[in-house]
Amino acid sequence: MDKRNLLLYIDIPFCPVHCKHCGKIACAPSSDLRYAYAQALRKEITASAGSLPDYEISAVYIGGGIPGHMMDEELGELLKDLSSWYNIAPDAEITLKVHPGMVSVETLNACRRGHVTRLSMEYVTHNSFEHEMLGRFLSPSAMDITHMILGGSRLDLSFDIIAGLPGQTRTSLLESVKKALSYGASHLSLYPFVLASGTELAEEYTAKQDSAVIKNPRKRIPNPEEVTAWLADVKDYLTSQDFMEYLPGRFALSGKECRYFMLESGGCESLAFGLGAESAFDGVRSKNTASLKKYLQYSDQPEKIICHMEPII
Amino acid sequence: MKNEKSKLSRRDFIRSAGAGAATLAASGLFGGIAHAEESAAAASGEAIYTPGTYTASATGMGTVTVTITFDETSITDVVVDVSNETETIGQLYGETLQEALLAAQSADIDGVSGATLTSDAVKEAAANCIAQAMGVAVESADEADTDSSDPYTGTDEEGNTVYYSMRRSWVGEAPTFSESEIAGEYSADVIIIGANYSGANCFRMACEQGATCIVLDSQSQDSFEAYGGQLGHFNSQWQEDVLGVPKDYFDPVDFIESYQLQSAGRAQPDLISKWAKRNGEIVDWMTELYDDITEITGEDTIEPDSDYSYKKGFFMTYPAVINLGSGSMSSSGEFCTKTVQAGLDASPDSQAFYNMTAKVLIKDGDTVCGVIAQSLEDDQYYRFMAKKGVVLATGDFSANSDMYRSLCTEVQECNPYTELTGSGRDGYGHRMGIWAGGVMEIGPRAAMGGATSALPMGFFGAASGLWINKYGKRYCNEAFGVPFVAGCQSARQPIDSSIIQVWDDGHWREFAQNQALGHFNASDISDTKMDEYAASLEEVKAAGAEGLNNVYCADTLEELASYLGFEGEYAENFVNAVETYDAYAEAGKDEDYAKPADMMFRINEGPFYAEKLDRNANIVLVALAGLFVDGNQQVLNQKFEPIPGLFATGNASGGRFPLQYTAPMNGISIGFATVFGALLGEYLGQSAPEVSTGDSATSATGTVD
Repeated sequence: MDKRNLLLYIDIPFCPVHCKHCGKIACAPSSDLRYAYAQALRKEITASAGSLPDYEISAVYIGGGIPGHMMDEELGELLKDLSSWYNIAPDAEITLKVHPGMVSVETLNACRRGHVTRLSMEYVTHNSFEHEMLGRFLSPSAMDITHMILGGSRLDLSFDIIAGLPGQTRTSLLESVKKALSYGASHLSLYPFVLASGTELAEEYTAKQDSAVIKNPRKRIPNPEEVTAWLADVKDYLTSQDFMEYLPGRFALSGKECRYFMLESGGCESLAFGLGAESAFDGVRSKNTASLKKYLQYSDQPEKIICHMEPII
Repeated sequence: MKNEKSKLSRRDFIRSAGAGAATLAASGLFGGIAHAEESAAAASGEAIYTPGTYTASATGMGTVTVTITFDETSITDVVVDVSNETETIGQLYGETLQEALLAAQSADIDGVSGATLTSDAVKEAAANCIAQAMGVAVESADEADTDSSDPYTGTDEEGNTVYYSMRRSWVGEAPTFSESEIAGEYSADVIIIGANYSGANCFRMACEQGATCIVLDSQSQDSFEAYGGQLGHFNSQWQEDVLGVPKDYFDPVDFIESYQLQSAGRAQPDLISKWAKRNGEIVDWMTELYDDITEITGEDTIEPDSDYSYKKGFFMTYPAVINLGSGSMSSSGEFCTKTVQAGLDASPDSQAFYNMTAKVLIKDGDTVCGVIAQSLEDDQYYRFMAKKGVVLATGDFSANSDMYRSLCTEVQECNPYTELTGSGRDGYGHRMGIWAGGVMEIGPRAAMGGATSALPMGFFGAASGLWINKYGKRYCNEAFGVPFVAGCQSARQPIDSSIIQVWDDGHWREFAQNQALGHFNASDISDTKMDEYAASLEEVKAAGAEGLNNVYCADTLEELASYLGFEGEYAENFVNAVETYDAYAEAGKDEDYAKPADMMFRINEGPFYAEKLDRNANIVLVALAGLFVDGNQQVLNQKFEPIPGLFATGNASGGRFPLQYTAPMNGISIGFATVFGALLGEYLGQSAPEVSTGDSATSATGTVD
């Protein structure tokens, strides 16, 4: 009997800095915390294994904050061991989210050990002023170093780019896309910029709404009509470069589509591990606790860390 | 498929809790997933707080202290202590704020008009209490920064007190192994840990000198990768055959003098001297492995009939930089494995173990005599014993942020708002050396790009033209900039300062074609490349006030200042700085900072150009500091005396970049690694004494219980 597809999502909520536009739970961890979190993840993942002989894992996504570089050795070991706990398809797609300037030789060693097949680069923009407006870590030119490190790596590369950033223009958006392709991207995700309420950036803009600062073209947030027109241009450009939009906002060369996204959009069941992770499994959508302390203490006891459930309609 | 647990699985839990999805909605156990964790938890009755009382303080007019008591799902009591606040304002509102916190069940309350500072301090302290109760903030604080158990003093092997200037928690403890864990043992004259640029060349050379050697590397042979792709050197056959520069063109003494100046006399003098005298010859030896070296390309492009001077200002620069992976070198990784294979061919008793990762060095008294390593294929531990010595060729430590932050003090201090991250290795080799009694080289300890990244790297690379800061002022002698004493002044400008490079229409070709060769400057200075620049500058001209990719062009300096965003005094400073610099260039004498005349070019023929670049945060490839070594690359102990049997080379060794990343040529780091590796192999193969029997039976192994 054919096994059912299942997706695994591993959430590592660590970032070197908290970006001004981001509303996610993430923190800059000490090395002790990184190690403790890796152990907790291992416990949660092993505790959920064993009851799933009827499933096969065809795609794994390691996301959350910026998992790459945060706990490479532990992550490599964890991914290496996954197949001893779950039915991992021999050709499983395993994606690791990384950040320009935060892919080390050790990250690539961990990828090799853990059979990672693709990297999702949280690039956002090539423009250093747009980058700086968001309070992001390092600068876009860090990608030059990462590109050098990736050198002969056989990993597929996906780039995340945001359209409609403060200060962005049609030209700079297009340049970001072109730059991503020049670094070897075979997959692109284009996300619309959202000034999410409660974020530091939203507060900054609310406070300064009428001030000259916001009228500065370098800080102006483009209106949605503009962005829609830019995206049409980007799409034309990507089409000219043999990229197809296989899902809304997701572009790939033929054969480089993200299996995780495709299965997820088709309603495939998913098990998600880690702080605040959301699963859709067995007809139930469930969510893990956002309390780090609690997660670290009880990660192998679903009854204690699952904080919320609802039926999938 | 194994199952390591016996507890309730997620699947079991979901099923038992809901008795199937169909009954969920009616069960009352489930609610809609809310965006905020707290409200989701509250709706489902989930415990989000660790019950207890938490206290935090913040600064208002004075110190405000908030104490909050939590049960599992809510705030049950709030006490706001504003007794240190100004009596007539802050103190009046303590109770109001207390009630607001309790009612809101969060720190998100309206402030009290007229007591903004107090309100903000109360909110900050309350948020801290909530974070503590949720377990986030407490554990996200970098405990290493405040851990009083991280000692700043220690003891050496004789029990003497040692005073440290840096955090030491990254050193950790050496692992120990029981005899029963050791699955096998191998012995040789020399054990080399790491088969990358330095280790591979050390291995090949030692093998060719008649030593039996074992090299270990954690990578697989078939997918072996080496990072960085340029091999800088001078006076090789390749230099003559490919660049047309005679192989005896450069005087080694010029290099020794120049490099000592660049590193303020701190580089390991014997190493620099040996490298200067031998590097061309060793590169010839390395390229013997390839049939046609003329197919191997170089990095720098200089017109053959150019009158380019290799001495720029105070320092020498060099053009011979091999692109590894070009021509018959299929890749830089293949360069390393091919080198190892050449060693094996020369010494049939020698061995290479890939997929083998070193864990701890073995000592016999003061002597390092072996290493325990783990096979990544069978997870077993093996012992490798050495008669002459163990070589750490284990790469850098930039991927270990704890080490990087602690050791590279200047890089961290120049980038105080950034956790240092690098792209290299995790420093395990350095730590093994320290566990065996070694010490790190003396600070500030360099990183490739560390302080350098605060430089105007743009249109002409990081050319040493006229540099302007956020105040519109020139700030240093740019001739000390890249590639010489990297980043020394730009990294000391205000953190938010743009770094601005200025040039004019009349002199830019002369300016661009007479920069020093070396990292961060343009390596292609051919006339063809200049024509490409000219076309780009036309586009900049057409872009007007908006500029193009942060490059601006204007007919007057005043107009250019406005395009750059300078106003008032800063705009005046800018115009004055350019005019003053031009006058110094015309006179051939920099009255302010003594920049050498050959590195100054006039800026007086409009239109004028400027490039406004951000001061990058730290972005590095690798850290460049290593274990303190002598001229034979033997690791020194706390008394700065050699440890018998322990050697380090490449990025695991110190003495190469004692200030920061100074680069008289592209690829100097790989140039050092390969040549120093080979020189160490030569020493170990020829003249190094035997320090051990190479037999574990006679060794008092300090690390095997």
